[in-house]
Parts: sequence; C-alpha cells; structure tokens
Amino acid sequence: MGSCFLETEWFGVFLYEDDTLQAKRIFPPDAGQIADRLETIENGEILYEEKELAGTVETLHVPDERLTKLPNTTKTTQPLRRQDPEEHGRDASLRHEAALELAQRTVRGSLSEQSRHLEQAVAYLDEAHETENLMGERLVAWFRLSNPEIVDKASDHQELARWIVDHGTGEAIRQAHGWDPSELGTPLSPQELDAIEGLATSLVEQAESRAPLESFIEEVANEIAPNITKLTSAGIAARLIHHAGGLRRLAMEPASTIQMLGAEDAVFKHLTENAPPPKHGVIFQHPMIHNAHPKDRGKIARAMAAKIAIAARADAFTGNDIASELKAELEARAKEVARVGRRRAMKRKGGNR
Amino acid sequence: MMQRMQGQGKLGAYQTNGGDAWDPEPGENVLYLGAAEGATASWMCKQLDGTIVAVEKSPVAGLSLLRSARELDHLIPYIGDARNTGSYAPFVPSLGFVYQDIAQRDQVDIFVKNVERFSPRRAFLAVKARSIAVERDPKSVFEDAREAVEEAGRVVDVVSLDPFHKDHAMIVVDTVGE
Repeated sequence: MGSCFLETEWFGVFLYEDDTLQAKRIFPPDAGQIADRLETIENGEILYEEKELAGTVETLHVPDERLTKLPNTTKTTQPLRRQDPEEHGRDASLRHEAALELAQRTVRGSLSEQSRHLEQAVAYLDEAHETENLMGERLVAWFRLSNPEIVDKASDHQELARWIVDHGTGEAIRQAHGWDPSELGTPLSPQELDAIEGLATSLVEQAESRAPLESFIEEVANEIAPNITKLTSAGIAARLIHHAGGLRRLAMEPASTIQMLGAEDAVFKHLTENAPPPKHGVIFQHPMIHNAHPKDRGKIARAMAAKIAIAARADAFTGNDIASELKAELEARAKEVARVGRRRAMKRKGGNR
Repeated sequence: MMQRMQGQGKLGAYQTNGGDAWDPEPGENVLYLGAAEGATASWMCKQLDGTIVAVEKSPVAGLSLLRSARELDHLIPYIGDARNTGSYAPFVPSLGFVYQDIAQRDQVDIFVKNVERFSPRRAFLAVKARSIAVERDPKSVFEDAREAVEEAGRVVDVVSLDPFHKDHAMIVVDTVGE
C-alpha cells in the first residue's frame, strides 16, 4: 500500500493514495457554509470532514501544520494535488462568492476591533467642523465691514471664502458676477485684504482637507455597519458605534439607550437636577429628526432608535441586508407622526376661534 | 527623466528594465502575496484569463481589494497573513506563478514557504533591501536573498527595479525540473 495524503480545497476534502483519489467529502454548495469551514481552518482547527477521512487510514501525510493535530500524521512537503470543482458538482463561481464572504467577515471583524480609528476620525471631523464655523463667522463679520452687499449675497461662509480666494477684492468679486458697484462699506487697505485673503484660504483648505476624512468614515462605516449606515448616515453610524463602545455593544443596547446616546450630559442633568429628559442624542443629526416639528421630534427619535437597534443587530450578528425595509417602515412612521401633529395643530387653532 | 513603464507596479518596472520572465500562458493561475489595495492584482486580472488569488494582511487595504474583487470574478481575495499558507491553501488552485511584494524583514522566508507549499511553475520575488536590513548595502542584501531563494528553485533572473523603486530588485525562480 502506498502513502496516503490529505488535501483540503475550498469545496471539499480529498484523500489520495499516492496520486490516486481514494475518498472525498464535498462541502454543501453554499458560500456561507464554505466560509464557515474556511474560518475554522483559519483558526487552526480541524474540520469534521477531515477527521472523518483521516479516520479511514492508518498513517497520513499532510501539507499543513494545522492537520498534524490528527492522529498518526506527518507533515511533508509534497506537490500540490488539486481537483477540478466541476467534476465534483461545484461551480467555480462559488469559490469567488465564498472568498468574498470570508474576506468580508475578516475585514469587518478586524475593522470593528479597529473602530478606534473610526472614533478618532469622527472626533476630528467634529472638531474640524467647529473650527471651520468659527473661522467662517469671523470671515463674514470682517468682510462685512468693507463689503456688506457681497456678504449678504453669499449663501454660506464657504461660498464667500471661495469668492475671496478666486477673485480677491470686493471690486473683483462684483465684476466677476456682474453686480453693481458698492455704495456701502469702506475700501480695504492692502494689509487688511492680505489678512482676509489668508483667512479665506485657510477656510477653503480646511473644507477640502475634510473630503478624504469623510470618505474614510463613509467607507469604514459602510463596511462595519452597512444597515445602520444606510438607515441613517455614515456619520451617525460612526458616532453611535463610538458612543456605545463598539458595534457589538451597540447591538446589545436597548433602543431607549440608543435614542439617548450622545446626550449623556442631558440624561444626568435630568436625573440629578430635575431638568426635562432629553429626546435624542446623536440621532438628532438626522434630517428626519432635526427638520421635524419640535413637538414631533421625540416620537420620531423613538421610532428611529428602535429601527437602529434592529439594524445594529443585523450588522453585528447576522449580516443580513435589511436596511431598505427598516427605512421604509421608519419613513411611514415619520409621516404618520407628522400627520397627527398637523391635525393636533389645526384642532388647537379651531378651539381658539 | 523617468521612462514610461510598460506595465503596472514593480512587475512593470521589472519589464521596463529588461526582465522577460513574466510569460503567463492561457489559463495559468497566480498567487499574489502582498496585494495591498489590489491595483496590480486587478491589472493582472485584466491581462490574464486564469484565477488570481490575492493575499493581503491589512484589513484597511483589504477594503479596497475587496471592492475590486467584487467587480472581477476571477480575483479571489484573502485577508490574512502570507506566512500562514495553510489558511488560504484551500483557495489556491494549481499555479503558474507566485508573485510576492511584501515589505517585511522575513520576506524571503515567506516566499520560500509559499513556493514550496504551492509548487508554481515560476515565482517572482520583489525584494525590498531596506526592509530586510536598512544599514546594509542593498547589493549584499540582494546577494543573500538570491542565495536563500535557491532553496525554493533555480534562479533564472535578477533585475534591479531602479529608478522606479529604489533599493528593490526582482528575483525570479523556476521550480520546473525539480
């Protein structure tokens, strides 16, 4: 009798006597189940199928360290033995699917460990925003002294900064847009203009430097928590994970806690100082809440937190894509809240008449 | 001034500098170690009709690799350490090539280990002298690397990748006839 060799491929385990295939165990044709087995292999454990085949022979040669856990095995360098998956009823495209599934699990696992990076990025994004607003307010106040009409025409400080960077003086901005010459304001000295241009330049640069940061957050949030991200936004998903201390923890929090995440100060104020309870934390940033009528915000926040709790569980445990259903349900609920709110407002009006 | 490179990355630099051992035949498969974001791997994918198994350790780079792999159905991504050959062995088909670009101190050991495990027809090692030993002369590092890879097969080509990649060399090994 010749020597026996064991080789595990993505679609099955194969036992050879020299170069002849003696026995096989083919995995079920399901990417998830194949990925499960490959995860087991990654963890250095033995597959059930491998144990079964190894039990049928007395001694065995194996190519990997992991398999020496089986009884009576020796690790040897041997030429690669490969089977054609089609001959065993498995489509080659299944390998691609299983590899994607496995890689996705690995990436997601290690990224949520690395969610500290995400936390830093989100914290920096918030700070960058704050700095930018301060600088913007200053630019608006300062430029208004010399060119009040231009400041009024700009939709926000970013636009104003861009005009100043592109054209320079108020005169040039006016010409570029074909506006009438100024009647108000005082002309700027060259030094004043220099200083204002410097401020405008930093403001524009600041905004530009935020773009890669935002795309990083977007990318990581989408990968770790696709359901929460689709339901809310990358920024909110990242902040929720940050406040909960990781995706798994977020997934184990009740919706009522998720609703308050990021409003911890207000919660304690409520508990200790008789202040009103907060209605929302991080999720306030979602337009569905902050654009709602103040009286409706609490209700919508409650509904949204409930959906986020479900989405977080899907992201952390099952990996199912349920975001669109959740989103539809949430939107329906928000509409209902707004409708009831309008009726309430009308009733009150009617009562006053 | 820089010459235009024919191909992509270090393999492109190797070809531009006169290397001609990259000769994939139809249907030949590649094991790519150190795929990073997958730029060269996807480029390779478009050149070849075989399967490319791309191994990358960093999960952050792995994100981009994963994105490319979703588009290319013969690019098989694996996120993990190229030292643990057993972990990705199930994905690796019979190979035409091993191509390795890993800037690690033990890059030569990783290479030998993979070539022995997967017995490709031919194997490419992009050696980065500075990650093996910063203080030593690159030439002597390449010399040592060349000697060490003899363990895996017969060295058929050694090409410097200057000026495209400073202190890099490509070492090509054939395993056929062993």
